[in-house]
Amino acid sequence: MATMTVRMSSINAALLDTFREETTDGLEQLEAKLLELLARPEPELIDQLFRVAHTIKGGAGTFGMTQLTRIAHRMEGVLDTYRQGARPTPAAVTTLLEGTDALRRLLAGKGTSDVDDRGLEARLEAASKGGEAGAPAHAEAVRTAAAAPAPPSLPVHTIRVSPAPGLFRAGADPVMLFDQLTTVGELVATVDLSGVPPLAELDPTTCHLAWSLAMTGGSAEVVHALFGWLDELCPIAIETTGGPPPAIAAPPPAIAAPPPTPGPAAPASGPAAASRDAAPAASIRVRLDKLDGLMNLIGDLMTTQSTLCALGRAGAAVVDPIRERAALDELERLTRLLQQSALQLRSMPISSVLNRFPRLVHDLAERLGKQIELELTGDTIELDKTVLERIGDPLVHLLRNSLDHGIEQPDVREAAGKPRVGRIRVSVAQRGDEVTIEIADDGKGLDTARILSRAKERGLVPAGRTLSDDEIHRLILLPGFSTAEQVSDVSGRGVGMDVVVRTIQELGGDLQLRSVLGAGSTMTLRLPLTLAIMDGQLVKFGGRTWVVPLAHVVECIQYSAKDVTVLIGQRPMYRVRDAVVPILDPCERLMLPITKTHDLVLIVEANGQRRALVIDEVGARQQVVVKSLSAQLARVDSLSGAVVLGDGSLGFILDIVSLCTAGADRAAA
Amino acid sequence: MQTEHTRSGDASTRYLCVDLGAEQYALPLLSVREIQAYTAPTPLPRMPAHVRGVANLHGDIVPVLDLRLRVGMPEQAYGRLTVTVFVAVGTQVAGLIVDSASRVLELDPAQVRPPPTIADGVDVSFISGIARPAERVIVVLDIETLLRGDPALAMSAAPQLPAPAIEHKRGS
Repeated sequence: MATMTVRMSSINAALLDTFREETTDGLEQLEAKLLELLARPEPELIDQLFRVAHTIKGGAGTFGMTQLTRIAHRMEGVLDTYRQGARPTPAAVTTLLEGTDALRRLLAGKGTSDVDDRGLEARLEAASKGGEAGAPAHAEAVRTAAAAPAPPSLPVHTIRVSPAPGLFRAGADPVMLFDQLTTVGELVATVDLSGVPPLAELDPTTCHLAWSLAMTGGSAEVVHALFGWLDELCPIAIETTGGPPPAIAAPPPAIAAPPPTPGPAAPASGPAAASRDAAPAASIRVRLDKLDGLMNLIGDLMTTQSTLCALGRAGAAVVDPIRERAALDELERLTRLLQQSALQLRSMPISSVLNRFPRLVHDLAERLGKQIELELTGDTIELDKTVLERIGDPLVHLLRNSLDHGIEQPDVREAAGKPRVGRIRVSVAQRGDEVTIEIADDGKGLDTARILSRAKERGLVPAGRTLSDDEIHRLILLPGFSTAEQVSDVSGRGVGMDVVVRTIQELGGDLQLRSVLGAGSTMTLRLPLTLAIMDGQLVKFGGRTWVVPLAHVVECIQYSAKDVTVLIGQRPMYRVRDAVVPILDPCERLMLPITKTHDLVLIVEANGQRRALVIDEVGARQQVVVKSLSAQLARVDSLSGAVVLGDGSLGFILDIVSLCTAGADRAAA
Repeated sequence: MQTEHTRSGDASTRYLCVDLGAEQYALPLLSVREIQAYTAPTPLPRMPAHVRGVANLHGDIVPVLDLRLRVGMPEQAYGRLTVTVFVAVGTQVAGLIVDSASRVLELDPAQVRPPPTIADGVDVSFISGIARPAERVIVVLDIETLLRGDPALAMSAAPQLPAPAIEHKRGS
């Protein structure tokens, strides 16, 4: 057993990705718990907060993100004072929340940021000084590290790293720190194996190793900054000389050192910098139980497959139709479950989007001088990742509207006989393969008279038309209703309600509005669980099979000519009980030859608009796998996708939203 | 289908030769994905005449164009030799219906001349050159321009890719 020389490689990009993901989660937790802290300053909560901050600091230290480490360290310092009994103040919590923002920004910027965080650091520092406890001992070293300029000549540092036995158990990997040092200077590392016991006595979780590092260039402060967070777990001793580098740092006398073989010095920052610039690949974290479920299903599938194989091999003489039927039924069941299971892999809880709501409400309520209580329910419901990614901004916009325009000032509320504290309830529920998200407030509600006058000002309502309250409410969703929405520092992006509606429609959902003047408004979003699979109603017209998304189907009735009303200058309408619905002939719309007299009327609805689709036949209701048309084709009018039908031929999915709204435009024009 | 396997040259100088009536067209072999015997694609409503519909190519829904109509030649009934040549440029995939696909040939870049500025009844914008190997006249098609210039395809709206070095510019 002797020393061995470790050649440094670039930092592992995959580990960095993991760190980013975990830290993103950590920051979410930190934010959520900080918001709870004022109401509930319990030791348990404070401990949790401290641990999260500590973990982030440690990880950031490992990856050499010094600024991130510094801020996390300061936040930890503030939290530590609470552990020692100091009481959190609202101002301090706000500063800590700013700290989380800074960390998030630094994380997105791969450890660097254009924003000067010194003011924030000073405030955090002040907050920690507010308590009795001072900053932990290594704070000074970390602080000086950032400011220290690199010396002009290339000094040589001999660094003796002698970790405590518990280093690995603490989750630290010194080799990664060494990697980081290679970005600072040229490094030759020598490992001291003298402490390693015989194999029989070896406990692999205990650190028996020590290192000698010879680093050319860089500064001792950087080394301190990198190792400082480990405290007593990994004490280091640094000796700096200005002379030529010693081949290796003095190894312990007990062992014979072979000559080191330092390779040609690679440009220090090259590979590490490159790996950090690579864009993180789209990935998803999957809960282990989902994977286990999938594995179980595949196990069952293999059993069924061998059963079927055995049945087939037995030959025609001994065919057992009952067992064969049973195995085929099982195969069908497993296929369905496998499909569901695969979909679940793509799903994530909606809490990943809703988590930012408490913070948003906290900040905005403070700025607007309102008192608001937020209630979140059903945030464990899962949605397809692609849906989740796109629904975040629209939801924030809707919530911001409720806060800004819905909830009144406390005094106004009191005068109206309502509690001073306004309530916003965000509830998520799953119904079949649809998810509804409801944002309800007990604010002032929509003022129909004001909306109407504004819409008339903007020429959105044709003269001489009377609108129902519901129709008036929907006017706020029209493009051009709201004045140019300013970019707000709360939502970050200025999107109008029409953009919200468009996004929801693109996702195959819709938005409903309910409002009572003086009592509040409720916005209900309906979204499909996934975009990849859809429940479809097969219909026939124009001699071909088409798919109508089941979510838009209201009912299917027998066509009867006496229910058709044609008024001069108006489109023909179909009477359904006591309502009339505009008739839409899909053959005419899609310019198809009319092959058969229409027999049926399919009533469809999107965004509160109904249409009577005249069709020839109605087929099965079935789940279809949606295939994109837009990947290869430019604008495809009136169709939202294609599906492979049971016989292998292709069918198209009717875009009910555009079919319904296109007609409405014409009616309004 | 007859193939001419010449020297194992650079793949970028090899072309799939297809026939439209009496004329021969060459498609860069590197852009050819697959050749299938013609089966009628599923017609898409409200599309220009040359877009014959869409086909399911290994799970992707891709448009199928009639190359005759696309280049401005008269329509002709599909026959026994009619094939669909699936070509790809970047992420855009499309099927081209041609009268027949005859062979793979190698064209020396020196043999390919710039196209005439005016051709009778045929759109020359997607012709990258004319080759005359052994007394025949072969029109070399510029698949990228052909697909990009088609407003029915997703590619027409896509940002322009850095153009590959082209030997001859039109009208030079």
